[in-house]
Amino acid sequence: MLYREINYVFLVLIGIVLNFPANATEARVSMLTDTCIACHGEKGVSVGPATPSISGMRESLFIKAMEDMKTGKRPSTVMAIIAKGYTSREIAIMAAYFHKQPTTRYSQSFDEEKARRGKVLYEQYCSGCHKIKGKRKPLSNKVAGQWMPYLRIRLEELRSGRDSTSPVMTSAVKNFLKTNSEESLEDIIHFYGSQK
Amino acid sequence: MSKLSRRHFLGMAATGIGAASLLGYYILAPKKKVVIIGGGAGGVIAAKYLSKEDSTIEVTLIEANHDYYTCFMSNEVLGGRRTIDSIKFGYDKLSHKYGINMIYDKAVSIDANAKTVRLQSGQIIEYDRLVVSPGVDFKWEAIKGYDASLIEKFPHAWKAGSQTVILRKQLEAMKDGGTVIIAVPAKPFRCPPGPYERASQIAQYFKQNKPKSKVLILDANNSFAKQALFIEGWKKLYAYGRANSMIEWNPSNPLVSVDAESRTIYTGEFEDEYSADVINIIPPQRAGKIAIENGLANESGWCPINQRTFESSLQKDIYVIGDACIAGSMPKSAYSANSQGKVCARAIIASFKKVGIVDPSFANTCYSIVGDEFGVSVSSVYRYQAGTGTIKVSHNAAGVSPLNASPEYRKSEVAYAHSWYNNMTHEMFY
Repeated sequence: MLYREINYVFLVLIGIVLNFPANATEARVSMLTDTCIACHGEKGVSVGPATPSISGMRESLFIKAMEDMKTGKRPSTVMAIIAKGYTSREIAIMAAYFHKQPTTRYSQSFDEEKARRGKVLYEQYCSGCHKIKGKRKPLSNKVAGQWMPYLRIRLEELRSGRDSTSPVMTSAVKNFLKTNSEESLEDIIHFYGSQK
Repeated sequence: MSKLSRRHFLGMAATGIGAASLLGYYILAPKKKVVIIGGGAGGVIAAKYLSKEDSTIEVTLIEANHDYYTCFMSNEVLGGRRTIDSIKFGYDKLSHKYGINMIYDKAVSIDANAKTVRLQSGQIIEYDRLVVSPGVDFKWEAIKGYDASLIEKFPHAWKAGSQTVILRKQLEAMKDGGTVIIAVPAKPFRCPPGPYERASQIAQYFKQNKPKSKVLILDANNSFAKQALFIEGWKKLYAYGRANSMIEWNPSNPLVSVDAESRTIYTGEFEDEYSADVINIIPPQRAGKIAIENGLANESGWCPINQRTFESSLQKDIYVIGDACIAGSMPKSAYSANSQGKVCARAIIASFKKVGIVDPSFANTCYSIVGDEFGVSVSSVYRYQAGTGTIKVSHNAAGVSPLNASPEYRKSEVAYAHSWYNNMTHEMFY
């Protein structure tokens, strides 16, 4: 007797719940991420030429990037202003959303010779952390297939010390330049840009 | 024989109602009709999001033109940096992918009681909700001796397409040593930094092709968007402020009258006389005609709305987005229209379900390309504030590019401007 009553109550509750908006949290996520599309593309997949794709990004890195740009510790252009517009909670919501989005890479024009040299350098200096696992899997840090002008800007920020928010990258670049020219950095960029 | 207690009956009835209403909402009920007037930055996005987010809504988009030319980035066509075809887009992909019913016609009147829209062809379209995203119209009567019949002689190019081509051709035909006048109307107008980006792009074209030529801005206003940044760029690139300056800016100098025959214009209180080889008159503006003529605008010439949902303050079940509406602190820009279109779509969906929406959040970034390697921007994040009932800047997230930034910084903002353009149009038309 009791079981049947509980069953009915349960069904009533399901009926009520299913008539609510699909998912209140989903609505909140969209309201926040809708405005990113105009520069970063749908689902964070940018069609370029320079604004980076942010789909598939690791959540912790997204949050760090936004917080560091908000304070100005990490150099940026419009993001220094835009990141200010959101609370930490909202940034975490956006991070979770973009992390779930599939990575798509568009073809870029690159120099074959540079990309060939870059591959060798990548294997020696970068592949330890930036493993390229294949087309569908997002990278530890989204680099392969990222827009080359953006990679160029970021590498220069790390090289020059204007961005000191990633000690690992700062020392990696410093280490690289001990035995390689700055032109070689360009080879790596072409290698990453050649990845599809 | 089964014993049906009151408790059991109520339980079954509630479940039945729950199931039936779900069934009704998603499967059995006739589709809800949402009609959108205007296939621009606001209307296209509203149409896409309504279709995408709710399969029970039948979306109809009414647009007079088969081809859409983006007014944003059209200054680069004037500057010779891109072709007119590069800013041209069509509606086929979007309408097929999202099941949007396209009607290529002009909306001429709205019957808010009958909830119908009458088209120029005579066709009557019914709606449950109407989105009006008509852009701007020009106050032809504001300038003596000037009206719509003069737009090929003195193009505004403030709606892109044939106007852009006409103005570009006039610039190409102009002899070296000639002058272009850009007459800027009093604020508010569509695209606040637009006239100054235009002056920059034309000056850049002149610098490389007709170096003795000049751009003269006759401005009704005494200040403009990103002014310090434009001036920094003009000084660096176009000798601004020097004897051989390619750009001159005359503030507080509104256009008063035009003598078309002699190609002379008169500005300001004392009717100063100016003449030029190319005259780009950007007329004063108001909301698009369909809004003005159908009771959606107030004395200001713009459309008051509930700034949370974009429903008109003057007509029920009609929503206004984009340039035509009064959206608090948001500028009249394509990015704003894009942002508003999404919020509006969600508000309409919620209104059908009789629930509220989450607190709206908006953004805007306006890029201006002052030179091929000199880009500047202004950005903001906005929220609806319940206290004032208006959209305001959120957490002080508003600002422009820094002054005296490095050449690399300025160059990067050009690349980002192009990226913004590509991502905006990709979202609109693919």
